[in-house]
Amino acid sequence: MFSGNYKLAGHTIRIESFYEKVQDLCADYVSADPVEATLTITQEDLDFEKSQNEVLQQEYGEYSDALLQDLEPLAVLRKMANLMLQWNVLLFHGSAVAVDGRCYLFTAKSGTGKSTHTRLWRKLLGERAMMVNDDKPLLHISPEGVTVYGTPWNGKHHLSTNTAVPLRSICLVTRGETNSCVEIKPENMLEQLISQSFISWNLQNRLAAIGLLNILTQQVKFYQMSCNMELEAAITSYRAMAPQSLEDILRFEGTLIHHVKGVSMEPLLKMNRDLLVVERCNPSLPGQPQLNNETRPVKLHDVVLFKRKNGQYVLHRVTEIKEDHYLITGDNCMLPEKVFPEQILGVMTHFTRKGVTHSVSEPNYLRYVKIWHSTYMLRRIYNLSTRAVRKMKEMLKKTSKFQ
Amino acid sequence: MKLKYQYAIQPIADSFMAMAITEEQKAQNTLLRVNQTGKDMLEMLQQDTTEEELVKKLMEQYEAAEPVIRESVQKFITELNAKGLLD
Repeated sequence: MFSGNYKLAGHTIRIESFYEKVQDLCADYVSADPVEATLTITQEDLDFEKSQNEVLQQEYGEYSDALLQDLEPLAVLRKMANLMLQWNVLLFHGSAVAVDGRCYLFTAKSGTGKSTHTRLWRKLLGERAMMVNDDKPLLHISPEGVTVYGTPWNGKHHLSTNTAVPLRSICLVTRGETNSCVEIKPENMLEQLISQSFISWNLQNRLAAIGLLNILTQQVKFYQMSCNMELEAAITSYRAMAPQSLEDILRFEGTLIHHVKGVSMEPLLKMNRDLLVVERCNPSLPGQPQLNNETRPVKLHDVVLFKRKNGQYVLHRVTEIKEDHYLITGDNCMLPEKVFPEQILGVMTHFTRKGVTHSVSEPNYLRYVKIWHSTYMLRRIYNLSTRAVRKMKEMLKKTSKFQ
Repeated sequence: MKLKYQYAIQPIADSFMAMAITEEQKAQNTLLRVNQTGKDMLEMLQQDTTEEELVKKLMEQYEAAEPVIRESVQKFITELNAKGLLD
């Protein structure tokens, strides 16, 4: 017998098997933590799997070692799924992809296109998307929320990550000519939820699984989508299911309208009063690789939306263009910030000030920009001197206290 | 009239799932989804009963006209018979 300890869905179990194949399968989940339960494969378990897999039996031959080696992981999966119920963990059939720390689970009968769809999400979102598990993830379900875990049973492309991500929604996938994705009530997909969950014949386990599904229906959102195999299908489902970041809005809508936050662009834009309109642009610098296919470049004195390394979104003005970066400053700020082209998301094209909308190509606005920029040094000197005067006053105050 | 098998009934979303307790049900491979009224009838049918008794008990629980309740009962019994779940 072969054995090893593995952490699945946060619980360490010892798996004892006839063949080494299943131990190799679980290699990414090896754990040194104390064992909470032991799962031992018996001859009876293998016989049961043989009875369920006639096709394999015909291919390999009834008593073949190769057959039993391939069947043993299924036997382990079955026993593991039953074992996990005691910890409120349910084995589910679906392709789970995580984006920005949230998991989206696509479920359907085999061959419908779940894995194709999550592959399209990865193509669409690049490094933001991570495969949690492409076949049989584990779901820890509680009234506090649902967490999706990767497992070694990760589909024919072996896509999974040994990780845990909160589940945001479950989507039932069907094939269609056109793409659509709508939110539905969980009662409209109960039969599918049950058929895609591992529910054994044991009554107590069945009751436990249905109980977990009941909690699941209260914790996440449910969607139904009809889709083809094109990238547009991923755009459709992503826009329906995922909260949109500012980048997403600009990418899919082309335009972002937002309230002004902060005071760094005064006197032009005032917080809680004014609105701004940002559109996609091409922030690539001359001689540098093109970042996108947009035609509108970033010009000197443009007000641009960019994202700092800490994730903060900022709207400030380009004050200088260098060889490989921009220097960007708020109209109410003094120190320029180094911003690289790939950080820039869009350029302001309009703003609404005191209820009136202006274009950045209007003569009055251009005049403001010219005056504001030309007085930069004067403002810098003024700010430095007022700061120096303030510091002197504070020092004098302290000195007079001691006398 | 009585159900062939004993069922455990569990709520899920806006419905109830009834699962057979006996091993025989494994061969039948049925999981019944019912609403509140269906759940009440399944519980009553766990014991030997008649259509009249079902109608009478449901009229005590629900405010609906007798013909409406009788129609629901008859429809439910027909469905159970079609699935071969009634003795």
